Amino acid sequence: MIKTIIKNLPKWINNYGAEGDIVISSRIRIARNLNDFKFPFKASIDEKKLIIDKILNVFKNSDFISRFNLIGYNLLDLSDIERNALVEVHLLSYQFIIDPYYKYFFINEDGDISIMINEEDHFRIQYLKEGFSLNEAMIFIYKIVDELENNLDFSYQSDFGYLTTCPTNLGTGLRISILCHLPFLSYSGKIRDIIDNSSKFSITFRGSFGEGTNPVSSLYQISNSTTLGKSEENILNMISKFGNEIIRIERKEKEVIIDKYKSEILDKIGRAIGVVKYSKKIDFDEANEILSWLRIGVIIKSLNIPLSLINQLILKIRPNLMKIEFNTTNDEEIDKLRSDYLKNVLGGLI
Amino acid sequence: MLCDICKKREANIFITQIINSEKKTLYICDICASKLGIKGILKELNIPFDENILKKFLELMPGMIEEEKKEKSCSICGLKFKDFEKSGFLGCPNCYKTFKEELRPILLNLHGNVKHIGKKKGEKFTLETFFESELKRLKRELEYAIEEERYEDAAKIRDKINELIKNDKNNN
Repeated sequence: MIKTIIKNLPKWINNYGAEGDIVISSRIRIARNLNDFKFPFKASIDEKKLIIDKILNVFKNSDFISRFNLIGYNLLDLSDIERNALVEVHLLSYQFIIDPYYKYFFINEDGDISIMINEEDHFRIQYLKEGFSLNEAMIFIYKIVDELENNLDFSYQSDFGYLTTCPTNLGTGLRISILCHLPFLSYSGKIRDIIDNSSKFSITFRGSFGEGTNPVSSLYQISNSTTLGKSEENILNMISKFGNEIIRIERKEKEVIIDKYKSEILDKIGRAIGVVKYSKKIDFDEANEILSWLRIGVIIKSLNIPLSLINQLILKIRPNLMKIEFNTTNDEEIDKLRSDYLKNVLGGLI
Repeated sequence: MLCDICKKREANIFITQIINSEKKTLYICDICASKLGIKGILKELNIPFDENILKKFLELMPGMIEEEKKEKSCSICGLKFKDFEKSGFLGCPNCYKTFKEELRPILLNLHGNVKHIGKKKGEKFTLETFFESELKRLKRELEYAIEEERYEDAAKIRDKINELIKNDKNNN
């Protein structure tokens, strides 16, 4: 099943969701721990094995797995490339795969649910959905979490709420995030002010690639920075409100930028098309930049490419997904294959 | 030199503490030293340990408390507070009981809050209206304020609850 997910990509990237011109996906992640065990960071090898055994045993005696169409994997049974590819499609975290021993995870066929065992916490439960669809995602993920809570004794203290390895997740253990493409706020530089001020609203705002505040792809992840002292509902409302405001100002900025700099923008889009058509090698950063410009082209209606195709390509061009797509482990070859691939997929559309 | 603790008797014991190359010396008399439980002094007087003297001593030498705090360890997983300061990770659920007081300022800094307001264990999550979620949050805060005997805060929260209910009725 992993091969199918990697090949066909998860459902949340193939579908085009609400406010899909700006919000690519919504992600909810919940941290939980079992009461009678040390946190993974402090647990011995035997304890980590015991944690996995206990969870598998509980699942065996319930219809949990079948109801959510889950399949479980021992992380060690996957190749290094497969593990990294699952990180690239947001189903596993990088922290989870660094040390692959005594780790177990469940994912579903649609590739929108993932449950990691022995990550930073015993449980990291995650659900992804296309576009800006936080309410539906919240309702769905809590179906999973409530079901788990019926069968397992989660560590909880009435004053501190759900207990987590790192106090940054304490209380609700809830992290809500949206992945946004904000090219116009990036172009004008206004994004910097927003990032600088976001912490005042208990919001973390970061470029989705690396540390940079100005990623070449203009992709940003917006999430809550606090989990304690607010209800799940408060956090949801906070991200919804902030997200709506970002959508509003990004669209406003689009009008301003197009009015002032249309020829510069069209020039950049044209150059991106040129690179796809005539270059022989495209590295990962350049591919991200090109896709961002093509996305802008679609948004300002100068190009006619389905946005969902561009979204898919944002994942497809990632190094390990490329390696699987072309069945190679040769890093040198990837840039050439990426160039061929983009030419091939976008050929008739640009 | 007079004793730094009682300020009455002549001091003939001194205790030096060096933290981050900052040196601090405390001069103490035999009686206060005995009351602190420092053994081998004035055995014949058999002076019992005095908690108030220890409090005074720790006020004058606050570094001692800090060191004690960092050495404190969790009885289940053995994690020391200084380990947490290094890694940012706690070792087990019991750590939250062991280091409850030490964690409070850290939580306040991280979350601007030290109390869980979200769903309780065993409660099901349901999407509520803004009114419902606000009412629930305020009720929870009221509960905590009463628990901690902060009655002035409790009165303010009750006013907020009444106002919220009134506004909701007017809107409907």
